[in-house]
Amino acid sequence: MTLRQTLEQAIEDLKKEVAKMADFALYNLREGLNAFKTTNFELARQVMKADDEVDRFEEEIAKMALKIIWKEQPVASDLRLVTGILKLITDLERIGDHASDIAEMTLHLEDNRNQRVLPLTSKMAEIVEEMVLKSIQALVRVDESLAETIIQTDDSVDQLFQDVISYVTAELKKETIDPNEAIYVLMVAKYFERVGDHAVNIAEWIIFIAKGKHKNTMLF
Amino acid sequence: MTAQNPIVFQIENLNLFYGEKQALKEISIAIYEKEVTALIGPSGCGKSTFLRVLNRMNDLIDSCHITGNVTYHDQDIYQPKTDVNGLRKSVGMVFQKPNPFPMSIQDNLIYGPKCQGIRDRFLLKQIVEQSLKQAALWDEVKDRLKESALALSGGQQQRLCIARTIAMKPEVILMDEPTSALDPVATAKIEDLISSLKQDYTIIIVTHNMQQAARISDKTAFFLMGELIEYGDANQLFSTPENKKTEEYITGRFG
Ligand SMILES: Nc1ncnc2c1ncn2[C@@H]1O[C@H](COP(=O)(O)OP(=O)(O)OP(=O)(O)O)[C@@H](O)[C@H]1O
Ligand SMILES: [Mg+2]
Repeated sequence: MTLRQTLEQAIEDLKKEVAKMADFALYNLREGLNAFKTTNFELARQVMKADDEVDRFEEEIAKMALKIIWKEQPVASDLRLVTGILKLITDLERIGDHASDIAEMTLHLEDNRNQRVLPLTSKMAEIVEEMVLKSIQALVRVDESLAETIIQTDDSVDQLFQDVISYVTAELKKETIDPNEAIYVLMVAKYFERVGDHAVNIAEWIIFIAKGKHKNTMLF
Repeated sequence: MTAQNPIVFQIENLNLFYGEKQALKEISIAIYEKEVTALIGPSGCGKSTFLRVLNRMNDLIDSCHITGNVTYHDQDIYQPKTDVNGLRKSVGMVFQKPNPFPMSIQDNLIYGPKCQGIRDRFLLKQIVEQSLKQAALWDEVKDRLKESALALSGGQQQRLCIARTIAMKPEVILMDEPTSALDPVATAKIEDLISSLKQDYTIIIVTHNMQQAARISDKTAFFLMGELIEYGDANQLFSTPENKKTEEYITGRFG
């Protein structure tokens, strides 16, 4: 039995919309990398354009959350969920931006060489995409232990990023890599490293939603 | 973290019965000085009963008896030698429905002090002015002190009742749903008043309005079927309640 069907429905709708936004941002991230890997200008432009959609999601979700706040005056877990979502959509929006940034890097490439992306960068991308995917799952289930694992994964992303830098530096010294390509590969790696950071931020907001604690500080 | 205020009431293992029926079960709670403590919970959970324990208003109900300890400043108030009138003077009460006496505004205020033997007219005049000012009613009634209290609006009547309680110079003010009969503006005035009275008084308030409890209380106690389910800082209770039943009640999932 529940006495607040309107509130429960509004919260369900809100969660669904955030999950959609996250799916969309993750899809763009994958397609952005694909565009870069295959030097597909058409796909790159599509991904860049799709970023507007992520921004619209952010606005729509913010409106839904604010409406719940003024109409339903949520407390306790409802309040934490709604305010946590208001915070974490900023990180989702940034992930969308970086998907677009990665796609944009494609436009600076000239020809259609294979093996454009170093295996190390691909490995990074794989881990980061997994982090984003888990953050969506953790949010939908308000699963703080899953959120914790995302935070723990971030160190390996940072390590991989360092490895990419060392590798590219070494290749540049040996002149076995085109400097132009090196720059954009590094930037793509950097964007993935940032996306990893945003997945961590999302995980931290999920822990707040679960416990009211953000980075070990009680926010209430 | 701020230091904890001194304890005014310390209640330990309180059980209260109306005849055979147990209305309060093993309640242990401390009430702190110059704080607003809100009591929330569904109808019939024992909030008013608990409030009446604190100034022995339950004595007026024949079938009522209690076990456990209720101390007010370390004095057991249920021991036989307790000065119950003195207790009720220190621990005043404001009710749900404004209940001014059918007399003038100023007579409402000096009735209690007069009963206590205060005769000095200057002093009585001072009590009238001070208590009305503290109850944020002075400006509205200062030119009509001799008019009937019954001519005041509901919100004004309730503030008069608070002034009447203040006129007795209490330390604690108990309020049982003091705004449930008032419109939003009158309610807001009483809420502001409660927040300012906190500087001088310890206030314990029963309310069915969750937002009101969240707005005005420092500590909140959630009662359910005679039991104290959760008690703590209002900000903690309304954001991260520990007990699932508290969570369900304050989020409106059951009632
Ligand atoms: N004088 C009385 N004699 C017998 N039973 C009583 C008496 N007063 C209250 N009760 C019972 O004790 C229980 C607690 O009542 P109380 O009035 O304290 O609840 P409450 O939480 O204040 O409810 P409400 O929110 O409706 O005011 C109820 O079951 C009620 O029926
Ligand atoms: Mg009651």
